[in-house]
Amino acid sequence: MTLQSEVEVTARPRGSVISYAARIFVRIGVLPILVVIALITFSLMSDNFLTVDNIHSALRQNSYIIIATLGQFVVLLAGGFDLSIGAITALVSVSTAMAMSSQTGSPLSAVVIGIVVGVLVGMACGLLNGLGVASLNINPFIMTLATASVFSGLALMLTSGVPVSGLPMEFSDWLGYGSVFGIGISIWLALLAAVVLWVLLTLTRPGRHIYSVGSSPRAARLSGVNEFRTLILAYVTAGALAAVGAVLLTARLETGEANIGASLPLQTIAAAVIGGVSLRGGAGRVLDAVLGAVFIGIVANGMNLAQINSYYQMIVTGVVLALAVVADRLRTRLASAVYAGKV
Amino acid sequence: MSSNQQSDNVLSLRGISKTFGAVAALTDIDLDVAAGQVVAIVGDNGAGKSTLVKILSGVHPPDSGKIVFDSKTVEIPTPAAAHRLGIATVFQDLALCENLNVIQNLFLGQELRPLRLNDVAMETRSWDLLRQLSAKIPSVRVPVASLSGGQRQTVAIARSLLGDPKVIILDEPTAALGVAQTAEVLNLVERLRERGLGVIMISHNMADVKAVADTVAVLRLGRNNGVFDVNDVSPEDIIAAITGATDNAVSQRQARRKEGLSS
Repeated sequence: MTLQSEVEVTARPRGSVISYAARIFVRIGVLPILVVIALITFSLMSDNFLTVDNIHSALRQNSYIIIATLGQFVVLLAGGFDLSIGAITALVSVSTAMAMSSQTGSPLSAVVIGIVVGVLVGMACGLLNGLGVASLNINPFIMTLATASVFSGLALMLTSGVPVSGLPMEFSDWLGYGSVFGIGISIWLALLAAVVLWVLLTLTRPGRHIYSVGSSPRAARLSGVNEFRTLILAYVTAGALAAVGAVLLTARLETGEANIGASLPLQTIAAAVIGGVSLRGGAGRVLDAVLGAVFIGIVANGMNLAQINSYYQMIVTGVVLALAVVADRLRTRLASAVYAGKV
Repeated sequence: MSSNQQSDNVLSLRGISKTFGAVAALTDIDLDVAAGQVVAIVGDNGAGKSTLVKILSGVHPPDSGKIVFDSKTVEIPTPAAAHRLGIATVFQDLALCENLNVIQNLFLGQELRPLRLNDVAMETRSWDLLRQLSAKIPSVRVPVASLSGGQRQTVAIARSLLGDPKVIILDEPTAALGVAQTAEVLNLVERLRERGLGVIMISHNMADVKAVADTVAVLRLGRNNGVFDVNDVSPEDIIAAITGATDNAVSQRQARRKEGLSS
């Protein structure tokens, strides 16, 4: 575009190797470095790690985490938090299973009704979170912590803690273990969710408004952005995505479970932050969130193959999350220096 | 300083009052702004300048009084309503989203096409606006966080021009800027005047006021305390109106100087 030449352009000095490395780090973040380390480490620990079958299996197992992370990502972008994402998963799992098992018609109609009920329940949960944050001005941390307790309690109340069985076989065959072109349907759904979310956030006005509200709510408000509507959209989208993830998990488990998803808030926040999504809001890309979730899946899968105790996986996730937050801080500081031409 | 001032006002306030609880922030404020005129509003802290800006920008509604814009009595319930009318505000903190780039900030809340954003048209329009203001911006695709204070002020002013407004309100546009950046911003104010816009400039800096304003309106304790033609008034007179005292340190120093010169 030649228009730029008509405006005075201020040049920046070129730097040394350290300067170049800093620029690269600002651009790509810490995740690619972590992924390379993980791939090398686990491929050395297990011969099966870098096989097509294992990668496919790991992605299929983690597709629900990828989708839930996308939900968490939207809320983080809007400057919020969703600690209820695990409880939404449990409530949706139970609702979907109960709706399916109560149907007497064809398996297809039972599956469709179950999925619709599940997604609507997820969206309703998101709406409740959004109303608390946007309308009642409750801190998102507190609001979603409170609703997590409510949703979890509802799931347990509906089932008395007993798994809901009697789901159509087709549900599990299609969504749990089905494939299209040799790739699991759940992986395709995760990919579809990522693409749809990318379109929403990158190519539409509401998406840009989500970024602006996360970056500076006051600036967005004064620019004529409807902050209330934007926050509601973010939380409802998160609820819908958590619901899709819950439906996939229910299909894999073949039962509706009230006790699932307890670790999802940590996993999804960790995945997003490791991917380079800012906890301060307003910064991050869909690809960052997806890669963060994939990284967490790689670590879990690699440690399983290396027969490392699952408790250690939690420790590793926590340590990596802390490192990612430190890296995010460093990246923010370096970005300012790079843009100012000091690096 | 050329002032292509028109006799008909683009914006008039009559009897504007605003209270917050027991505190009367503004009482019976009158103000006129003509096209192609820069009106500086000055006053001490707590004089009501910020409240007046917030009323005109749609952040707070007035409790009473009348706002006449383009010969029509109007209400400004929201910032979006102010935009639609043709009143643009550049706030003291600029109200920019630091993580967003220049284009995204310029078009925030008024993006071209809601469902398939027209980024090419927005970029073209961004460069066009910045060129009109002779802006020194490295790229419209860098985050605003990477720009200097003067560059950010330029982006905020450019954004205010997007909807082709008739009145622009600048709240302390040179606060916290260096000498070169201040000169840059004052040049922008001159350009706004040349474009025939009515400009309201809130300022504490008498040098800035003298440099670009045509008229100075003084607020004191939420009330009008004089409207002066900038060519016919001294900084001492303005300070006297701001403080409400004709006998103050500035006027005393001025009197001593005059005595020294006459003797």
